[in-house]
Amino acid sequence: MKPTLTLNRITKRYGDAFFANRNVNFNFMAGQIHALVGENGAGKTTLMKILFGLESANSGEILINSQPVVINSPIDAKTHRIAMVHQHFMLENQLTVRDHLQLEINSSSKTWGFMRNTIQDEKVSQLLSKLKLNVGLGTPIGSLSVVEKQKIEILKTLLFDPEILIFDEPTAVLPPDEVEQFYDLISELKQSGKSIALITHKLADVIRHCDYVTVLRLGEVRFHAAVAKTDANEIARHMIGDDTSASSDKTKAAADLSATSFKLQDSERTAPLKIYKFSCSDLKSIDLHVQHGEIVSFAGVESNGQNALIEYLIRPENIVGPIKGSISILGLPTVENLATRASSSDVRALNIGFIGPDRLSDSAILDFKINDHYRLLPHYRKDFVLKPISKTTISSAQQELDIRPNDLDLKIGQYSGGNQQKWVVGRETSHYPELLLACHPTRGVDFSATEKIHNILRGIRHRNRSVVLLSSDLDEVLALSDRIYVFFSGQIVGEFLPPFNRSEIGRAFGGAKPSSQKSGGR
Amino acid sequence: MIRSLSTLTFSALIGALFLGALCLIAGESPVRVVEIVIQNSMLNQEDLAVTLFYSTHLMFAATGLCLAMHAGLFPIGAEGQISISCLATTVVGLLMGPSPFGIFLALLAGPLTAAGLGAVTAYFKVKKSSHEVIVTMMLNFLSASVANYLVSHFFQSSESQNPETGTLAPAFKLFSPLFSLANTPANSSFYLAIAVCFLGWFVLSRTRWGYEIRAVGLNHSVAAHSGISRARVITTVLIVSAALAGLSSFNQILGYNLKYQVGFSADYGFLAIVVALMASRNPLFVIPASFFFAILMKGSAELDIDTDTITRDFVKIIEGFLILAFVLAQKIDLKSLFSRKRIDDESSRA
Repeated sequence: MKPTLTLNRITKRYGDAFFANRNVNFNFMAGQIHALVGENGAGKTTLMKILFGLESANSGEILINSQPVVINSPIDAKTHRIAMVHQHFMLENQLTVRDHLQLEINSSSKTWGFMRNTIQDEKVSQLLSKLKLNVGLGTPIGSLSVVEKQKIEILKTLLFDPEILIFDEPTAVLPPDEVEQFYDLISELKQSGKSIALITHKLADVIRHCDYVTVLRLGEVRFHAAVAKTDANEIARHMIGDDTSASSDKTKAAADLSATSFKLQDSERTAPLKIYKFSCSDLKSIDLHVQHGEIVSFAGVESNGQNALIEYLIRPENIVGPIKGSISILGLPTVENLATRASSSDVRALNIGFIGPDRLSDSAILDFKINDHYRLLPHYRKDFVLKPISKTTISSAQQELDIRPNDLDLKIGQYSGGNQQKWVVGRETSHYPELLLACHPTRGVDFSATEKIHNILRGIRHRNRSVVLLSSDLDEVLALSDRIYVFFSGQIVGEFLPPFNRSEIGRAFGGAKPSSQKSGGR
Repeated sequence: MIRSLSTLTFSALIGALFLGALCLIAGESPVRVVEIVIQNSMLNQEDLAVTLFYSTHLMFAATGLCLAMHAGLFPIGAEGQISISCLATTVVGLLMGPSPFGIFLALLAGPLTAAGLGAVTAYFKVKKSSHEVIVTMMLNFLSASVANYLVSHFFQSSESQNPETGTLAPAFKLFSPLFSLANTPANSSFYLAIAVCFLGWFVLSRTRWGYEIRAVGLNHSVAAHSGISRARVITTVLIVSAALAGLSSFNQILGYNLKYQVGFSADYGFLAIVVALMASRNPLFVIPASFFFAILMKGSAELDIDTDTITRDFVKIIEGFLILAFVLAQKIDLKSLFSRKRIDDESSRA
């Protein structure tokens, strides 16, 4: 079959060295659903944004029916009958359904801002019934449910009768029973001959509903197949990388080291982190513990519960109930029920460190100079009148992590992203925490600094203290961890001990439970 | 520090520039206008006393505003807080009489009632997510109306034609006049106001609470992950900021007038916003900025009389320009214009 639209060798570069997309090829076929999968940051959304005209590629071409076309804006995309339903709704709560549709048909034509075109009620009511959507055109968007909002988004795209439809994680916002309805709709569109691209994290959906699958990893196509000829495990393996040999030595060394430190452990002391059958709105019966002197990873495809769990550890006030079970950190019961849960001030007053998953919203204030930056750790603001932070604390971090430029009078925002990350790591480990929650600790830092940060984490373990590691880099997880919990849709599907079996972990990423409760360690 | 200083001078410079242009347009010599303003605000004790009195009001309120603005808030309730605190002081003094206890209560009444208004603002901000601008704006109207009502219905002085309360006993004059000339308003609460500015600076830059205020103001999400409660910071800062505005009752009632006059405030609470902005939220710079505005307020009162075309509304126009200049100064990174210490992102990469 001839593709209706082809993305040919698309490359998108940020800065000098970061490739969001590198020589990516992608084909749309009429009447087929094409899944685009990969870890967060793999470049899926970037690729689709290039097609929709929201980003521009550095090189590569877009062909429609073998003719090259230029798409510089969503308006260009619409004229080529390409439509996109974004991950986050592009809707305005105060406006009505009719307003949105009016806006939609007037945005693409050169009307100088006047609403010249009016919607044809007949066509709209046809589409409404097709979408099984029973809302009046005068209804304000704000009063619609999430499902209805998404249908309005789809309705907006269908007004153009598009040939190419892109859906960016459409089911992420939907409750389970609505997901089926969504796929019914998609397959109806498919039968009418549309070409559909679906970005998703849910491999089960890919297997059930899609025709082709393309796996992106680190901006490159790592795998492409007809869904009929592959399975979820194979897809998961390509998503997380399949170079099995690279880290086995390191893993072994790490395992040996942890075995010795394990003996040093004082079994009388309580575990630094104990989570007992904890459930809340988006987590189900999480049961885990972290012992002294071990690095434990919360692994899984992004946003399967591990990120939420870390957030709830640091900010129990963000938990949405009903709560079952309990969490205790360094002996402090932080969560037992909704009413008596601890605050983040209580949690942070403990001797813990926290390297947040998103630096700019969790860990660093760009306008702060180094001194104030360190004070984000409560350890450095214990007294009401602040004491100066010792110069050696700061300069030793600067030297240990080789933070450049070597100028301590700058604001954090004046360092490059990688060096900002180093300052965060330096700060959160400077007080020798009993428990370090490290999310993507090496994100954005160069190779040598990665090694240094890994050594710091190992150093914490060596002191018989503990690290919880959350990383989307499976090599990092395998190299550092003493144990791995794999999360899948809000649950722990497996606990793994070294030597780690990469393919078995890969299967758990896809939701498959390992054969025995504790795998590995044969 | 340097940034605040450059913003201050930049704003003042722009203000002066516009002032000059404005005078020329109005057909008046800028030099003469400045002469009139300075002559009538500083050059004799009588005028200077009024100028210092004004600047005391501005310093109290503007220091409080600096704190609140550092937390990312923009409360505009100082005006209402000032009038309510002055009324409360007078009423408590009238009711309790000049016993030591009564005087003590009158002293506390001002800052405490103002703090109460701050607490109301905080309640709506934290619990109901209302915007502090709206809440404080409403509270300003409310305060003015309540004050008018109370004065006219319960505390109107029988000896006066003006809407004002009776006069407190002389024992309530806790803050002695700065000048020996009779009836000059400047009093020793001026020193307290300067101390408050220094204290405000110290709290912001050297204490945990001040640090938490800054962290919440710059990035409340990071602050929350660092164990700083935004709700607690906002509540405390709104209360303290209001209490500081309430210290104006020391200046107005316990240091000068000993009675509440309806409409006594020359928009001190609103001018304080401009002062805090011009001081770039640094309480130390509030001192010169307050003085600057007090000079303008006092000096321009004479412009009506001494010039043909320029009136006291002149000050309002200058205020407007200063706010504009401040916004400009925030947009332009002045420091980078004067200093070469900039980090090239590329060169810092290993």
